[in-house]
Amino acid sequence: MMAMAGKRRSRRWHRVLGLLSAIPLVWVVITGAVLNHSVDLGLDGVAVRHPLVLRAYGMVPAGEPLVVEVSGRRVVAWDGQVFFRGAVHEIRGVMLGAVADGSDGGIAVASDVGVWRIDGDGSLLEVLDEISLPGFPLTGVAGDGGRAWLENPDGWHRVGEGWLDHEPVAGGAMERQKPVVLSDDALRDELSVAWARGGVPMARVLLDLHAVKFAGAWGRYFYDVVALCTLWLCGTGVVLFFRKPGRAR
Amino acid sequence: MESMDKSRVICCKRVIGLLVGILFAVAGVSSRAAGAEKVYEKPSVFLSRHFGGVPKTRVLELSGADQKALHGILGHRYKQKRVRYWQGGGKRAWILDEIGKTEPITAGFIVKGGRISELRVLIYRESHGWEVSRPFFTKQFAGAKLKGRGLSVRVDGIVGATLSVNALKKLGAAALYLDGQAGG
Repeated sequence: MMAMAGKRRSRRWHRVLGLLSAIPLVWVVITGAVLNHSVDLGLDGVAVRHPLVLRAYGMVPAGEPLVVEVSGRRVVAWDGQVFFRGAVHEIRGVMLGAVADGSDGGIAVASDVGVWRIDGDGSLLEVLDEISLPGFPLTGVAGDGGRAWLENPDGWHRVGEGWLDHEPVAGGAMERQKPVVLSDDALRDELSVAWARGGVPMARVLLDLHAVKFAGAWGRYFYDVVALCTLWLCGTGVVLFFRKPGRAR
Repeated sequence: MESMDKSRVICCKRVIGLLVGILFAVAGVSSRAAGAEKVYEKPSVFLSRHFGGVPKTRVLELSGADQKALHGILGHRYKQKRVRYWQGGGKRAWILDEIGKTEPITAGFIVKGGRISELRVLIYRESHGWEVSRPFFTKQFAGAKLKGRGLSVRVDGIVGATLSVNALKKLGAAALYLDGQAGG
């Protein structure tokens, strides 16, 4: 009677451990099979944009998005990137504001350490640094009839045609632009995805899931567990294969 | 007995607080080191050294063919549609940016008669590979001409700074190409 109870217990354990052992194998097999056909399935062209995934890859902008309006169009700067007419450009420093630039609807975005000139179709014209601008740090920017003004600790400077030169204006007092925090939640979400360059390719996410990169340092032991589980399933399978059922004995 | 337990708890709290403090301090120092920007020479000082002041700024508008050629040299699209340069005394200065590993390196090139006469790393933002700013490396560029999409001279690499070395070699070739477009 005692031996019968022991056998039942060991069979139950065998079932439970067999099921648990199969879980990591199923994980590896399914993700591996899909990865094997990732080109056929077009997974490189599919982007994952879920906030949890973006956060896992560190692809979430820090701080608050700042917005200014230039000729009725919004210019947003957020964690080192500026968004204008669907285009994204990298900038350095803190955005002070933006002014209309040129006749094609372009803009010039000013930060404390540079100016980024963007043309009407959103392409980057040029980046201006300390050689082409008044001394740093810049503290303000203003527009006046198509001309840009820049402020630094020495005062206001009027920028020449094509931003090729600039001159200090004694006693000049312009109203500097004041970027405000973007409050449009829908646009924030959209820009957050744009900041992450459209998201993470599905193939990359699957590869990392397959390699268990999300588990951090523990991920390296995952395949040790998979190997042990495989040996366990093989071993118990061989034993079961050669063991005759009680009825057949 | 109870007072001993209390003192142990206080002691443990202090030790944990100290460890957390050290952890944050180390994290703060390492994050500053990773994002360090080293200015070796301000671009305006670089120009003043060569021209005795900052000369009048000139602009080279890049055509479609120029963009294509620069793509071939740099291995990627050049982001800007125009490039600024400065000239005087038969030489031109080009100040260009290129990403080494993750951050842009700002380098100044003096080109005279279609050859590089000086390379100076002006601003270095990467956490590793700063050795490319040293004269033993930069002097290898002196006398280089444009040969195909690269330089006519052999530039020896630096262990641990391969990406920065490659970035500067590409920038050197780009500066020579741009100089040719600006009127040789």
